[in-house]
Amino acid sequence: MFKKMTTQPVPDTTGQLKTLLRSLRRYAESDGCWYSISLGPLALILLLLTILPIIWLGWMALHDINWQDGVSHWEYVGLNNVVLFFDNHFYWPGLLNTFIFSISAVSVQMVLGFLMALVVSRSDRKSRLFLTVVFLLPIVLPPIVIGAIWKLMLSYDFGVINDFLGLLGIAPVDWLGNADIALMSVIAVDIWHWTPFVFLLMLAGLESLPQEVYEASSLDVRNAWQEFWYITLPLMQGTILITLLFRMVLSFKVFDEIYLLTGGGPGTATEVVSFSIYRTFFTEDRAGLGAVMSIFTLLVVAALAVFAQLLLKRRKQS
Amino acid sequence: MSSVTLSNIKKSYGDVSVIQGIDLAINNGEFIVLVGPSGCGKSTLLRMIAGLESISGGTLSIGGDPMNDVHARDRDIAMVFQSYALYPHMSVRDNIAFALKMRGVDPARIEREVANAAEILSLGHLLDRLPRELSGGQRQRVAMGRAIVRHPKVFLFDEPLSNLDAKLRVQMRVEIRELHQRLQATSVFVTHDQVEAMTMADRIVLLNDGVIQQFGTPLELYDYPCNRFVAAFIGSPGMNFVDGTIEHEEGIAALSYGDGRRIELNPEMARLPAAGQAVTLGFRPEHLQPCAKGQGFETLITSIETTGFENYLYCEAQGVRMCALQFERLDCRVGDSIHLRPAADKLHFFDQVTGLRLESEAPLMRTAS
Amino acid sequence: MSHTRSNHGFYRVTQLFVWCYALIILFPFLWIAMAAFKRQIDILTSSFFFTPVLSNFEELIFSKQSSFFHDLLNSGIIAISSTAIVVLISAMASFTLLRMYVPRWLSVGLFAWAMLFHMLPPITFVSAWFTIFSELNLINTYSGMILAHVTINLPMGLWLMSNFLKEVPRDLYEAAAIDGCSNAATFFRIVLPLIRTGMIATAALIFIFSWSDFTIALNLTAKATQTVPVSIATFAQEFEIKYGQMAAGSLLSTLPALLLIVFGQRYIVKGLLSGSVK
Ligand SMILES: Nc1ncnc2c1ncn2[C@@H]1O[C@H](COP(=O)(O)OP(=O)(O)O)[C@@H](O)[C@H]1O
Ligand SMILES: [Mg+2]
Repeated sequence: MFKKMTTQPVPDTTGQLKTLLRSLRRYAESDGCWYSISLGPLALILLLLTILPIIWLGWMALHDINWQDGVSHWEYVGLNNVVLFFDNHFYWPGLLNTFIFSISAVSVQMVLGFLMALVVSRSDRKSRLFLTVVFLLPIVLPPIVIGAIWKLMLSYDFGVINDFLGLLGIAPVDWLGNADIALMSVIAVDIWHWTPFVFLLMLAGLESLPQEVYEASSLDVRNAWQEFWYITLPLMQGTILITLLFRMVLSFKVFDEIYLLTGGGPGTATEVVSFSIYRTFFTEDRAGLGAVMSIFTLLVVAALAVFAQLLLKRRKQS
Repeated sequence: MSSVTLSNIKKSYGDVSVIQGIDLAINNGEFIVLVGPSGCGKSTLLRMIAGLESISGGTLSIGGDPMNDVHARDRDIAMVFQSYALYPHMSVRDNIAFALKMRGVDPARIEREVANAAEILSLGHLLDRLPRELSGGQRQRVAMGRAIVRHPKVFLFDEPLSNLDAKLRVQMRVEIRELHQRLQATSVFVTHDQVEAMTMADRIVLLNDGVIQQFGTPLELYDYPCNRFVAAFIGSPGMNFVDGTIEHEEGIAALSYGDGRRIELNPEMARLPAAGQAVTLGFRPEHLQPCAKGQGFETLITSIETTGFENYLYCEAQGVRMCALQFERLDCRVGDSIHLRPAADKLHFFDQVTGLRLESEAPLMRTAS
Repeated sequence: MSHTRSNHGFYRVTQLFVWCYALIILFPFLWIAMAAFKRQIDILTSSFFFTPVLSNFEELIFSKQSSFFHDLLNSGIIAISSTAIVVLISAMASFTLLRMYVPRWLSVGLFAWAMLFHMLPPITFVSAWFTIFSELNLINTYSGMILAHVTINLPMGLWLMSNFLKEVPRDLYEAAAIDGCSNAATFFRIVLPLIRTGMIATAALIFIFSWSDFTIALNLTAKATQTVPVSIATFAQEFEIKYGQMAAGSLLSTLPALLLIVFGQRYIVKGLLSGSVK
């Protein structure tokens, strides 16, 4: 009804240009154009930088790759890399360590985080705000900084932890250099690092619980323990399960802190899968073998993730 | 302003058929109310006219042009949503002006149109507020304003009054009606409330399960419901129904109901169904009057409601419940027995099986089923 | 919640525990902040009392051997551009996927794959990207790094933006369509203004992730595009660990995150929560 009108007589070339512009504009406003603009980049990136690399890794796994003067030379070796992979001295202890690492770190984080959230959910607003800010710190700071901090603090000679033990009359401990303790130290750092995250999630979960349920139940439950066991815990089950499963899968990513704190050592005491892949690929320059490791790791983690998803879905249905 | 024509319009979601072939011709400037129980497909039908929902079958034309494949933005219709759907980040002025701006109307003209709409809807002092700073009724007006500045071919309303409180709803009902008088724009108004339908419509489309039950003026639907569903849906409290069999004896027609009781029907009525036919007799509460013993239903009063102006007697006869509307205040109590008789010329007969009206003297009856 | 007298004492004790934990979290940060102002000798004797000096910062920023300032610049360029790209792409894509007609297999497939990809260890992809990027001469370039960061952060962006988009009522898009908006106009004029808070939250988080990334930067950059986390790690690996500079670098690298916490705490918490609880 209110379309703009072009009333002036126009020379023919301008007319053609206008027609062209109009059809361009019509295309720009069409559904097809919007679909390609809005979904194109996403699809392209996922395809070229996530799917293609997996195929690429498969291709690399069949080759030995050497770099000379910045040019790569590919030599087909069949399944040789797979054989080497099964004999690898770093990967398998690393896989075991990764499992130990993620299971023990995440369990402790869950318990600690949940308990603290329970306590804090009853505090006043001001202290809750303060605690939230403090607990955000380890989450938002670069993991490498976390590594640097703890490298400084856990140092054998002059780390503040050992100084503190010294004050108590305890002999210094080689936290990161002793093969028996190193993994535990790294786990402790991870607990320190990620408990606040669990805490924040649990706090949000607790705060979103329906308050009426508590009001209603206050007539029936006799003490805080009963309230926790019969009301809070069942209501929080979903949040707890989701957080637990996803933290576990995500903790398979651990790399930065290990890189800085121990470099996987001593021996293979703190070796984790990400570090094995890095070592094989970038320091040993055995890209083919690294590719096999990558693919295997992808399969393991994907299986875990899918399993977690199925578990959640099954729970939602029942 | 334009006519709207639907021919054999269908909609299905997967295997579920929601709209099952609708034919409808809406005249230029008409105010049509689409009414029906919730879930019957009113919104779906309206949204198909708007272009927000694809049409699974049939043809829709607006102003004579087929519209099936035209994008909503190009159909030149305006719609008022149940939630109003005001843009929360824009002032009232920008909300009203938005559609014109999108169509590249020149700013001076937009300003005029907005001022004009604001004046019609008395929104002048609110133009610089944000939607969240308005009351429910004011938001409703802004939504109307957004529609009228455009002078669209068709106005569509999807239950626009249902979020208002009862008093405001009555007021807006009148205002929308008056607005229509003034603008004479083709309008389709969806509601589940039969009172809104009766009071606002030029013509009502009564929909159930995706099928048009009746299409006609409010009084046609009220006086000559073409099936039992329409009879029950229109009017509040609803029509009374008594199942029974027609008997003709010695020139007197009667309905036998319950465990063999009879009620005489007016012998002069030529339009009675044939003897022996199983029918549902229907009559409205206002047509049920007290009478002498033996001439009507012998009932027990189970409950009495009064508004001061009207008095409703809820009664029971032989397991049949009925309601009578009285304007005088009667001297009776719950538990009393009372004889009631429906007015002879206000009876409706429906087939017990199909529910269809059995005879028809309706001058302008329109049936779609 | 009910507090009976018997568990009040217990409650006090647990509360004390939480505050201790907060202290345990805070202490290391204070410690490294202190270390940043210590001379190497003070660090090695781990003295509590020391004369604060700025030598670590001076060496970090002004010394000829140090590339820290340049690294800061690199980090900034890479984090800001990849954040902007991620937020834009994921906002548009989730709008289309959630609110327009898209075949179900496509939207479910894209979301599912993005989420799965998010859980896979980045190093597995970095190794593949390394060889692919070498062929394309993208190693040690801004475009290569930005591309990698966009990819790694896109799932989180998609997830967050789609959560925020779900909060915008469907009616508004429909009203916009009826008012004559094209899809692009609906997106830019209606949707974007309404999800602004969500976009800020997403941007804050993505920026933090990109700024913090070490795995990718370690392997896909060299001197020219090296980012701050890599240079911090470098201090720790030299033969004689430069603890002072490592601490000073760490302190500087935490500044953006600290600023975001101070000014956008609300947004970060919002993003974190939306990103992890369904
Ligand atoms: N997107 C959809 N998918 C499947 N069924 C739908 C969808 N939208 C509506 N329906 C069904 O269509 C029927 C009509 O819906 P609607 O038009 O909203 O009814 P109403 O008359 O209350 O406005 C309902 O039974 C509803 O369940
Ligand atoms: Mg509806």
